[in-house]
Amino acid sequence: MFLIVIFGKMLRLTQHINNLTGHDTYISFDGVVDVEVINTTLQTIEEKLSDKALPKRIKRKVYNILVEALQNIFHHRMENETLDYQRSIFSVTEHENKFHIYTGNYLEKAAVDVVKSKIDNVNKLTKEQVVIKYREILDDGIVTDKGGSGLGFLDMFRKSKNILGYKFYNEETYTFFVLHITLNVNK
Amino acid sequence: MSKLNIESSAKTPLIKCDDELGRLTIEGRSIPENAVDFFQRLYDWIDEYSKSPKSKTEIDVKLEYFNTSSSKCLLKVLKKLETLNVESKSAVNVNWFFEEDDEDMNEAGQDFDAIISMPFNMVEVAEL
Repeated sequence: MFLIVIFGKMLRLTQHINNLTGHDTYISFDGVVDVEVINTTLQTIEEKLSDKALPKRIKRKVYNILVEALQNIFHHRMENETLDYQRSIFSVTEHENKFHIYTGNYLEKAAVDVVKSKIDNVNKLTKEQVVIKYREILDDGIVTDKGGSGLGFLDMFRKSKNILGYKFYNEETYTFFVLHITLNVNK
Repeated sequence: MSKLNIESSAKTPLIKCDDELGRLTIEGRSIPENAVDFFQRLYDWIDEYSKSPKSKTEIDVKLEYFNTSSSKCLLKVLKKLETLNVESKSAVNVNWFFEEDDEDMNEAGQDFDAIISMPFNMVEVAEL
């Protein structure tokens, strides 16, 4: 999967949205993702989805995957950095019977290999293997201080039934990490 | 021993626990950023209930959405009840409700059923 997003430092979201030509944009955001932003976003997306003639199971999946994606950004935000590096982007769009959820946030450069290998390992799993892995991590009982479960990527992969796209953009101090989840309306 | 009643919110479920009936209900959506804080009161209630439980305990789980943070907490709740069952203090029944086209909630129920060793009823309904 190839991501079409190319971010200029100051034009991340604008550039990103412009690249999603022909997409129906449900929501897009550029800023610091806090609990209030998550709450407002979830309320907005639920209202917008309720107006659409889509199967209920798809509406539920979009909502559920978005919850995980947003909370993933929230749990891994650069809390001790300047606001510039705490900033994230996200968008939910629909195009040709597919939903696209993008999130982008800064990471320590040292975390890049870990995140990359986590996603690569998830993307390699068969339908049966993902269930086994999910149950294994569910049963380990480990929850981080912030409430992270270690199940986020697996959950998004399992619910979307598509591989998770990603791209890392190296900047001077940190790396900007973009995650792309695709959900087929008819799958 | 007292009853536990927690009203639902936009991100947390309704919780109803009745020690006299041996009945627990978790209903709505559970998507808080940190579910551990929310579920602590339920853990505490079950620990207290476990000291003198009813001969039969029933838990109804009727969730519309839950996040992965909540999934680990839900498993902890079920494991606490499983202990009651294993130690023969109370015969515990889990009723996992899901809507007929909700494959994710159906699969989630199967995940818990695979991990937990006690009667686990998958209850398919037209609408929650």
